[in-house]
Amino acid sequence: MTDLGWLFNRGTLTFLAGGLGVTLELAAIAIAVSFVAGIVLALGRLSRFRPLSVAATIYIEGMRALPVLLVIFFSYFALPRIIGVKLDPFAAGAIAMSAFTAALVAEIVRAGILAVPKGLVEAAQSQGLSAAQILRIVTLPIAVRQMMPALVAQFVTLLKDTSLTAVIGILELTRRGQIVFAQPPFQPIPVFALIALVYFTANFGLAQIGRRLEARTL
Amino acid sequence: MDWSVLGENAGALAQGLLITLEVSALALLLALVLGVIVATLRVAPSPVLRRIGTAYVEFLRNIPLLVQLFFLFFALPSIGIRLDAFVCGVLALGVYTSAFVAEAIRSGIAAVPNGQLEAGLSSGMGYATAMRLIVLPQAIAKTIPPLGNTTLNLIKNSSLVSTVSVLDILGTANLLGARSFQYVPMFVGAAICYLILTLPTAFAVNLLEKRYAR
Repeated sequence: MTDLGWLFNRGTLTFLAGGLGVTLELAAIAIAVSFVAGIVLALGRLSRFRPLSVAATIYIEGMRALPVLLVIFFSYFALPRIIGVKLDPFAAGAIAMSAFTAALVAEIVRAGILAVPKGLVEAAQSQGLSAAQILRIVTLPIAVRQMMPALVAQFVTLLKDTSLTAVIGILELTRRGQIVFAQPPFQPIPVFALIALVYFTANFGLAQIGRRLEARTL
Repeated sequence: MDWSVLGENAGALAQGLLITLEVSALALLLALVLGVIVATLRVAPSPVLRRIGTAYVEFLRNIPLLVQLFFLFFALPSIGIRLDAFVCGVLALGVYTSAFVAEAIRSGIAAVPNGQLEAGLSSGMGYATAMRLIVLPQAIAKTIPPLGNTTLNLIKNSSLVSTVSVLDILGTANLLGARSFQYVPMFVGAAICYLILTLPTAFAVNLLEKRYAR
């Protein structure tokens, strides 16, 4: 245990760094997809067209009431039987993380949109802007700025939750850590310490960026 | 897809629901006790205590729960500490959640005007007594909505115990899905079980939020 050469060597560290790469890749895909899908869902929920708002509300509230691990398992084991296409673990994981996070982002976006002062929208209307223009030029830019802190917090949660995709066999950081300590000299504690440090650094860094954005916008 | 498998295994899923409830209730209890202690540290007059409280919260919040759970389950045996999977689940979930409880309570305490504590101190109470009798009761009312959300997350997070082979809702659905190859009905059944637990909780949280959001 005193000699950690088995952990701190080029081969093992490269293997683990590759896992961090997969973790970040998964998180980046889910952030991008869920950001766009979240805005669409939020607009759907706020829509005056009843069927659309009901459908968006059911999706959002349903997803928020379920454990993300269930969504991951469903995406990997059950979804291929429904759509008839076999999904590799990474695709299944990316779909699950995106679909789940989209519901949470939607609620943040909705709160952001509702917080935009009515007078601004009315002023834009009185200037003759169309509804789409108002959304694009007035509502969304202000809403996005207001919801930045909550969004960053959500993405910290997302980055942590990507570790759950280890259970469907995605070779991300946590899974690779398990592989390393399952080999001689079978020392899990140093491996866990290293993995925990990596997650901590990534998340703490992300949270600090969030805090800076918060300070700038308020 | 054979939906009859859901009816045949309804009993097993109900059993899983009880395990989920049990894990969640025990973990919540642990999280509340630890959370109150850590929140008190975070607002203590001593900078050292405050720093310990902050370190505790930041450490637990920024490391995935799964990593913490796997640490208890896979790493502790290497130094001779062997805990049952159920115990690991309750411990990991409770300790992880305590960081969020502490944050909820801390923001509640911060919302209690400073004069309240000072009034207590000036009438001869010690810091601990003033905290316990004056600040905490007021803070707890303010922390009920965020605590409700934390509880909701705890119930959902309890599904992670299935990864160390505890047969909670998700563990049961996974096992029976693999056995019957009927994953879709089993996971839909699991989703219904979780909704049974989370939707009423979410509803209650919303009610409390409306009542206390003033």
